[in-house]
Amino acid sequence: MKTIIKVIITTIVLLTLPISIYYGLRLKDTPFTYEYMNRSYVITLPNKVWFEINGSTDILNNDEILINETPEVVEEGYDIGPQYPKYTTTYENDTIKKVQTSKRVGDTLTIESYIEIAEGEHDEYIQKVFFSQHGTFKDNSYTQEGCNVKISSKNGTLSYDEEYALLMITYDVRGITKVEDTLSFEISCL
Amino acid sequence: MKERIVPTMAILSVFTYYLFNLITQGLSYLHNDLIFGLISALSVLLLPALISKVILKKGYFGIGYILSTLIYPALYIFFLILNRSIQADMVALYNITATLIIATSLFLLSLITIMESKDHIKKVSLAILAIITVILLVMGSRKIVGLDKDSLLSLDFLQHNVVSTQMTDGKICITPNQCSSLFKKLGYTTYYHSIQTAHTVGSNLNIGIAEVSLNIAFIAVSSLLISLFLNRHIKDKTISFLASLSAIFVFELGAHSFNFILPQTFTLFLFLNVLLEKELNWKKVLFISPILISTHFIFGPLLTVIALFFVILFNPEGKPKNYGLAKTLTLLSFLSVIITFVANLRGFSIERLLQMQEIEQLGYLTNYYFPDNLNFLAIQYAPLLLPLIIATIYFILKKKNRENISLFAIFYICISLSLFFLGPTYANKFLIGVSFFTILLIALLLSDLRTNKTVAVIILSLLLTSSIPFYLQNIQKYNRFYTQNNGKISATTNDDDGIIMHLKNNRYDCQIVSDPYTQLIVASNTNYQTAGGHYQNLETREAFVNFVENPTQRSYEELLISPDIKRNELCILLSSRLYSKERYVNQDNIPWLNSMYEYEINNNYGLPEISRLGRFLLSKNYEITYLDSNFRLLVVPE
Repeated sequence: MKTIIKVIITTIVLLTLPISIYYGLRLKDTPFTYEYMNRSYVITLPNKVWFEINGSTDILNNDEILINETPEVVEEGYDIGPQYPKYTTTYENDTIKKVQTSKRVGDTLTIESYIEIAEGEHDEYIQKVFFSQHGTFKDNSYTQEGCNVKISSKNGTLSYDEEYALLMITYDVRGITKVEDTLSFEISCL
Repeated sequence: MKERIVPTMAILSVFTYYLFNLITQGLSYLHNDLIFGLISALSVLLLPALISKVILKKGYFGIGYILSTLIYPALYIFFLILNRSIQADMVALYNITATLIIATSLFLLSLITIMESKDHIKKVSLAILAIITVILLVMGSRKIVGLDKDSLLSLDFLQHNVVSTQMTDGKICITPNQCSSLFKKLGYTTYYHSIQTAHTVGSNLNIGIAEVSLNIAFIAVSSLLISLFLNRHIKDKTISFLASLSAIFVFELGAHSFNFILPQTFTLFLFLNVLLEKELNWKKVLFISPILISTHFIFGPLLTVIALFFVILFNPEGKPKNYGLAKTLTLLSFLSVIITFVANLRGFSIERLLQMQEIEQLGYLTNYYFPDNLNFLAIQYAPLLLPLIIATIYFILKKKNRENISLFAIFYICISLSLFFLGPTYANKFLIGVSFFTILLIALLLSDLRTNKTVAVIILSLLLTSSIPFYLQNIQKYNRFYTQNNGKISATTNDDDGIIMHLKNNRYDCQIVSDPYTQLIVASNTNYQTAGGHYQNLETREAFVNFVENPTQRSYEELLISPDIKRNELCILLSSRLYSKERYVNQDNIPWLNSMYEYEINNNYGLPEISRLGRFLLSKNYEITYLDSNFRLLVVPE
């Protein structure tokens, strides 16, 4: 009996070590938190400044087209060490279907969007990023309180509204019904 | 002779270091020096052990240690009498005392080195080496998470230092709220503060250095205490030391058992001293209980009762006939964990049921609920959890234990977990000491299984190595609150140094009004009373901000009738923290204006023109007496 317990203890301890080391690998990443809540991807930087990418505030032809929609959210993957959970959100109504998949690798968060718009006359489609504090926006980088967020969009145009600390990603949707984009947020702090 | 090398070297090194730096660098250098801080803190914490051994002729740790800590409140009372009778300067008296504490510690250690037997000196040498090893390990881990030598990580320490400054200003402080407005609840007497005062005010240390050195010294001395306790039951120094390291490298959020020195953790430290006492009996426990209770009004009585259970039912030196009772009690405590867990699972908690008024004041629930509470435990104790479960099952199922101590460890852990699941406010504090009893149980299991020493050392080393990534990450999460916008992690900023120096050098007869965090910094470094410190009422915060933004007779009067304003003579301290609110997009959701427990640490935003406010205050006879890029102090001259 004692030998069995010894074997169990030794096995557990030996298995624990690589798991712990793997868990500890997160130490090398910038300690910002990334979660999905209240229809938003919320990123809280180590300096407590946060920003959110709220999927329900998207604008199509000046209308908040998804404001009353509740998305279907699927969380996948593990939240351990260098692995972060992956969220897939799907909004769907008569006018639009939007699927967003987020993933974090190291200090970079990427959100892949696939948007299908019903046929009709459309000008532009806008996604919004809200920052909690006014910051400096220069060369597609938001800087505040010692942290820097470098933002890039594969197919959209970035514009920053200083008064509301609001970043808008605009897509020209004239004559098209599908938009694909990859938003990338590269975070670094002092 | 060679057995005496380590203590002799230690004494000579401390002596030489102190004298050399005093002569070459001056006293002010030492006040900002971490090594000197560590010498001071170790002297303060080890002097009672040396007194216990040399003067009381008892063990280094145990009841003799606890009784010897009485020198610190006794010194305070003595100095207070001198202050009241002959107007003696208490700060100067404490400065002299700090030097005497270091000198006396070195002298007593020298006596031991000369007088004691070779075997005894070997143990002392090992203890010194163990302390140095722990200090180096803790400093290394601090470096990994980006902490500086003066990175202060505890608002509580600042808060307790307010009491230290008031005590040495000649105020009668039997309880903290007698001399400070920063303590809203009566949780303890100033027993613990008398010890902190001897270190911080006595050695006149930079507050960051004072906190870091006192905490590191506390961890090192705690590790020694744990090693001694384990060695009594495991009978192996290497295994005991490794196990003690595993216990201190668990970051118990809220409880902070061996992470920070606080009244609650110092109570645990004293409790472990009680358990270490030889021939312990209930009379001794009751005799010493007033010290435990005065150190903390919740954990003091709780740990006293647990110590009584230890003596009556579990003490290995007690009567063997108690085994049945001990086992029954352990099983009942185990059952209580299951019951409280199920209740918690069903949504029950004391804070939700009975403490809603407190919760409303706080603005949030203080506890985790299923499944977050289990996740919290898993991340906190991580690699120790499965071995703990196996050890618990093993000792509960075992028909006859060699010692009742294993049952006591289970009993302690079960009581703590039950209180955690019952969920009174800040229930995670009740996990205090669980890391120690967990590692004790695992070490006892390895010993009971008659594990080969090499294998036991390997297993404990692996457990320790596995604990460290969790420990570091938990510290990193904890540090988030203290991360400043220049990358420094600390509760104090250099931007506050100028105003602190100015206030120390000038004694204005007024109550300081500023933002809550600036008030905490001022109160913990100077003798000034502030408008509620960092627990400044939300109404006062709003009234002050309103007055600063819109200075009229009406807003001024509203400020004067705010809850924390106790005097008509105000010193208005405008900080850049006050103006940091402009950075927020949503002006209705400024954290420190909406929650009592949110603060703005950074103070490097600069000050805007205050011409309107300035004109208004000039009309009230205020004058600017201090000015820098982040502060303006306005005072009515006497």
